[in-house]
Amino acid sequence: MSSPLSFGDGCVTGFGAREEGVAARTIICGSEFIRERFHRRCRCVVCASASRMNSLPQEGRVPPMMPRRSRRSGNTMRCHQCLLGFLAPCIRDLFMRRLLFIFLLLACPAFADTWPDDQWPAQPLPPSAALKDLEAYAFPSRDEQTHQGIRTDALLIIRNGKVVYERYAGVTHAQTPHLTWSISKSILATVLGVAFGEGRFKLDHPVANYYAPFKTHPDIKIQDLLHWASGLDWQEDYEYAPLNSSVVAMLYTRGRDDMARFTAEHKVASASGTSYRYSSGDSTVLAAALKGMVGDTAYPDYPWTALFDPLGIKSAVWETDATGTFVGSSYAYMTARDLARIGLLMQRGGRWQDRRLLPKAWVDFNLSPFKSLTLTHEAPGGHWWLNKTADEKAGPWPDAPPDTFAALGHWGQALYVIPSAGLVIVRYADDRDGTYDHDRLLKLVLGAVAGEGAQ
Amino acid sequence: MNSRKGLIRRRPFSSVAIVLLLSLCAVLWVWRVQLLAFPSIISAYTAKEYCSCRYVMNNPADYCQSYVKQWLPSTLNESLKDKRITATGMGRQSSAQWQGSRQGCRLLPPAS
Repeated sequence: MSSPLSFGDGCVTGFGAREEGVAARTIICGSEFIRERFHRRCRCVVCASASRMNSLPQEGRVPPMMPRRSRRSGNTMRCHQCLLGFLAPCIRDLFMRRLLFIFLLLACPAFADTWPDDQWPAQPLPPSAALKDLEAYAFPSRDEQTHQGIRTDALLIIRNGKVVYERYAGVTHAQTPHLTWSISKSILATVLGVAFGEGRFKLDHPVANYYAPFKTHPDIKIQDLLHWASGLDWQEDYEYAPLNSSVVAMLYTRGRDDMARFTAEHKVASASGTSYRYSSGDSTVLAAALKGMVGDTAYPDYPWTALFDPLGIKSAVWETDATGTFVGSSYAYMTARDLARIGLLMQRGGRWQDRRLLPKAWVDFNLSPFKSLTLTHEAPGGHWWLNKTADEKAGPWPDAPPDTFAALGHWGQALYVIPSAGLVIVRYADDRDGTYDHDRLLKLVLGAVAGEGAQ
Repeated sequence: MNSRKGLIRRRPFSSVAIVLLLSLCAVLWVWRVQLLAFPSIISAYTAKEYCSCRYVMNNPADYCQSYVKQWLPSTLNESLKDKRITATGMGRQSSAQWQGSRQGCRLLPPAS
């Protein structure tokens, strides 16, 4: 018997021949699959435990396309993939077997990916000085009286699909559906991505095609809203200019009953599609346009049917205005673990397990910097924040790789994704002042993860 | 021209006061819509965010009171049986109510 070989990401593979007539076995991902060669046909047999693998397994023919889910790691594979190992028992030489084994992994990249099922698989970082530094920064002693300083509610780090760090503070815990504030905008963009894949709208179509009150702004396109470049005269300040803040008026006073219409009633300040001007109104109009795209009947459940259910997100709440339009700018809630699922979807280019949920063209649009005529120190993409600009200058987080992108919200909410490092980071917070620094946190997380790799 | 100069010379403080008053009236007129809506901010914010803090995020009442506290005084009244929050501040009153497990909380239209 050959012993199973461990090969990255919890994938355990081994193959070798038992005795004549009993057949070789090929076990891929989580030791749960046995291919039994019998009368030269491929049969997949699920083995309940490692001990059973050594006895003749119970036969049970499995349809070739039926997916099986590992109880241990959440990996998914298909039985037809067993066929890829068909030649294995013919190759007795160990070296050749290893070559084939590497070939199998290269041929089927899904094998290497770990995905959450009901729970996230976990592989906690061991204690290190770098991890201590991260904790000292993110979780200083918490002042509940003055609300000053860095006040992290949750910090969750996922690496290559596994939880490597998770900590909560204050009243927040793993089951708290935390307010995401403006992370909602990027969640809305992800919901829109599914609708885009279903062919329900085009980026260069006028918003008025899907939302009638925008007939007064016939030049504004869907992509302009996604770039926060509608050109509408919008004032985003929250606390510092409460009298003329458009967003405070939209959420709490004049706009609260019909937020998208309130936005549509704004005057034009610049030509649409030319100048970035951060606007919660633009995002709210997108949420209203979604109603026109998918229809009134499907709309109230659409974020769930399109995105949350396929990703296994169970904690989501999305508040609406009095007309039933989702407050796409501000009021989505979910647990840190559930938000990380959206991060993992984006980290993996819109693919969720073996399903392409977001078209590649959509993710490319999300992650392309918008070239604005107005100067900005931020780097907006298509409703996500990037770490690279349209003119190839450095992004806002110099200590993070250029492929870093994020969904960011008021009071320190953040979902960071660093595909080149295999990282998804969720931070929930209640920061009431400006002391928190995205770049500093990213640097400390990268240090903590790299420190672990060096050990 | 001479008579106006004379007025300003004779009553400089009153003249400045009149100009300031006229400017203030102009500002009030320009901002009339925002000013009329402004006093509702405190009560609406308090009612809505307290409701969500309690019934969406499921946080304890004392934490949520501290969470929504503003620099202006406000009062909070929580009706547990219908998950309805009524808040007052700056002489206005606003109510928010929990709508359901997916819909969370929403501000209710002002009582007429």
